[in-house]
Amino acid sequence: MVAVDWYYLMFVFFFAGGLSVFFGGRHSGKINYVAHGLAALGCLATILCAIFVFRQGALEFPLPLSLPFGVMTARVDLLAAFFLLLIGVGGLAASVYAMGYSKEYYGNRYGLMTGLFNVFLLSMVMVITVSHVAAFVIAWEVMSIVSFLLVNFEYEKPANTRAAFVYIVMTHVGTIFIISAFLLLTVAAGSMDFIRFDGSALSATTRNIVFLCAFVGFGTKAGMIPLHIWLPQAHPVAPSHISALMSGVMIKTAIYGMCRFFLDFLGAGPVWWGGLILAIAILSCVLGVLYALMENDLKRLLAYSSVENIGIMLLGIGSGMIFMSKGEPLMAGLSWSAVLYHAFNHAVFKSLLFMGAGAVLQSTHTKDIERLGGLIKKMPYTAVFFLVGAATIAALPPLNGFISEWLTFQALFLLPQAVSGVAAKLAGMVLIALLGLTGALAAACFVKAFGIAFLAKPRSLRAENAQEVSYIMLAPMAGLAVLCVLLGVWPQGMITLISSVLADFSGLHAGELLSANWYSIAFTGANAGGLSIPLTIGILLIGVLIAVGLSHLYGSPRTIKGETWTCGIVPTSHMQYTATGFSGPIRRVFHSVLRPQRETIVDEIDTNHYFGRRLSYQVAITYVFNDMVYRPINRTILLTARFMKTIQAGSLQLYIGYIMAVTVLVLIWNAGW
Amino acid sequence: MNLLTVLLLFTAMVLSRVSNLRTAVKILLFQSIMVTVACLQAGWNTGEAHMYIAAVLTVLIKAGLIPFALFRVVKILRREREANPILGPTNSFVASAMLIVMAYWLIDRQLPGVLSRDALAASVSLVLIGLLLIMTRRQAVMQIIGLITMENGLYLLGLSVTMGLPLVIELGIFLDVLVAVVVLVILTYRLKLSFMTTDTSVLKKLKG
Repeated sequence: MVAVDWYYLMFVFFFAGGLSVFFGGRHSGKINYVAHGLAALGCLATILCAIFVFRQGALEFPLPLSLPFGVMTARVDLLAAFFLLLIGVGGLAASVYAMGYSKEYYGNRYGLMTGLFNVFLLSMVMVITVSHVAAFVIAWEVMSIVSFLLVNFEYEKPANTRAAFVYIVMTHVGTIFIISAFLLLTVAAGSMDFIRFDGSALSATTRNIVFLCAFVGFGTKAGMIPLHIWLPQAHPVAPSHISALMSGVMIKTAIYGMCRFFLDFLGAGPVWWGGLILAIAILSCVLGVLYALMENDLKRLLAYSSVENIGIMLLGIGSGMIFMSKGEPLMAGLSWSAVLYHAFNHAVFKSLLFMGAGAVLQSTHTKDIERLGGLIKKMPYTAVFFLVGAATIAALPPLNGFISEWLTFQALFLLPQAVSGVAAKLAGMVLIALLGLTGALAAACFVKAFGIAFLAKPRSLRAENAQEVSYIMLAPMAGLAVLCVLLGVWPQGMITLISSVLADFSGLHAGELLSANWYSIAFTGANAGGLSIPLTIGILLIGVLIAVGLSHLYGSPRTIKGETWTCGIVPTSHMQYTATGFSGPIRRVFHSVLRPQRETIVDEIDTNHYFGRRLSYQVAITYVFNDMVYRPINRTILLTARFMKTIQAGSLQLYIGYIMAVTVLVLIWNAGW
Repeated sequence: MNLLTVLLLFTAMVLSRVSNLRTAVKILLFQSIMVTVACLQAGWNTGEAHMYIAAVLTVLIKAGLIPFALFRVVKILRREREANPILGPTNSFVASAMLIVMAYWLIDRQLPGVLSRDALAASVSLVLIGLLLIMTRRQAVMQIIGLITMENGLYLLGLSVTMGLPLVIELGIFLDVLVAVVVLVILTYRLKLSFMTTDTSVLKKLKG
């Protein structure tokens, strides 16, 4: 079979799965396995299609769909194939996981959920593979609307509807910009086919406008700050397998769009393009991870961490574009490799983490970390997989998050050499420091997420009664965890793949990333550097060995089982470190950014005279951009609407009066006053 | 033709003054008959056979069915009259006169020396006065009458510019008017049932 066959097969599977919307709430048990099975098969076909494209070269064929905009072509070049692979892997895991997870939703509207799940996957594949403006925009809209419906699936809860509404508004604002960017290119090229688009034919101003439109449009979908407000609201309220898909896979379609525009259509541009991207990127990184660290809702914490990771990818994109405009193909290749590698890694570990959070949610029915605790004893497998995901996202070697963040760091280290001017060089160095800070805060964030949720004593009855989830949910998590390790200890495969993807584009060169040395990443040029995986693992092992050796040397290990000694009283879960307490020091350090508002309620009535009083402590942080950007916009729109309302008075006579006035005016105007 | 034009303008002017619904419908009936006569005259002048068919249809629909329906609904609305129009009788009379002046100015300006100058100006005036009626009257029946006045103006425009439209188009127009009036009469009746009045300013309550 060839790639085209797999492509059509994928289409058939997803389409058949999508038909399950017609079942409504009937036959939930069968629909679950059939629809999600079809989705899994479709994802497998997607993966195979991508693999065949990688082996046999780019694919191009007319789609048997006729639109009134000319012939529609599907074009799966290597870049598209790479993102197909990403969708396939994330989608496959989510589909299998859904078979177990979605059992909670049996009954009313269940068929709708499974069907939309398939359509969602199909729309993402279409976004990546079509090579025609109209088709792209349609697929993009379908993707947005289907994900909106999935976010709003439990519409009985008012919070969900609100989140979904914010999502649909923001995503459409982004779509406006994307369409503008496409139309400017279309007008210049005289064709709606992607292959005719050529940024160098545009005037400098038009190119800048296209760049800004594409960046804002796709940036909204990616969830970069300050256009991120929908992401932390929408991702947590969707069912967890959908969250995994949205956070892990859907926001990568935006990264794909940026790659397509910046690498394919526009090519190397002025330096300020890269500079702008870098500024937004570092903002997303630092603020994203800070908000994540402050969050006590497990899924919202993961959503904010997605903002941070998008920031890391944007750092790669920004530095890549600066290198391209400075004529440094090798460094540009390094940066873009970091972007693609991190995109893939993020899809893997963020899906894994959302699935872990979903497992916790299913067995405890709460997302609030303050009410969890001690889950490692009740749910050992979930805990291990979540731990792998948490270590990966904190960029610990030898896991895959480390590799891509290391690549990003290398790109940033080279950045000050490429740019000219003291201020620019300094800014480049500040970026490195801030990315370092981001990494440290991310580590703290996931220590909090894992430590408070899985360790110590259960903080509520629900956490105490938690049970391990079914194997069908554990299996995809295990697969993704293995992938995390595999992509970390053996980055060669992925690096080779990315080099072949990037070979298609001019202005960069990623061929030398892989050195001849065994298991290492190295690049030639003036500043040769490298990362040797065996060496890294060796150092790690030596460290562990030393630690173990020292502990054996200075005292014989003995195991004594018993309660922790707490001055004679029985330890309770109230004595434990809380999630809010854990993030307290950081809240204090970043006081000026987060502007926490604390409220302490003291109950003076002595319920227990040994302790004297009861404390209720609440803390809320201020989201700078909500206050600075979105509130004023909201207020302006409301004021304008109120003004417009006076025109719309509801009086029939007044409306006719408008018509009459316009008629008379037009007549007089026409007669030439 | 000139006499007809004057009579048509006269009916329109009178319509802007009356407040009794029954009288208004009677004037409308007279106006429609004038239009029919104009149609017959156009047929006589041009020798087009289909003009006579159009004239018959005009009589049937505009002088027959529509006034019949309006008389019926007016009988139910015994107490209703245009008590408190937005523009009082004198003001709307002056406004109508100004609209006629404007129509003449418009025609002279756009089509200087056109043959059917008076007929064209009259038809534009009828359209504008009809619009003015809809705009300044609160009673639903008066608004229907305004609509038919507009329609009569348009019909006259068609007659005077082209010496008659193709029959198919005229049939379509007649059907439109008929359906519109039937729907409006039904709505007026429902308005009376629901709000105990046909004063359309009660419709303001519909706005949220």
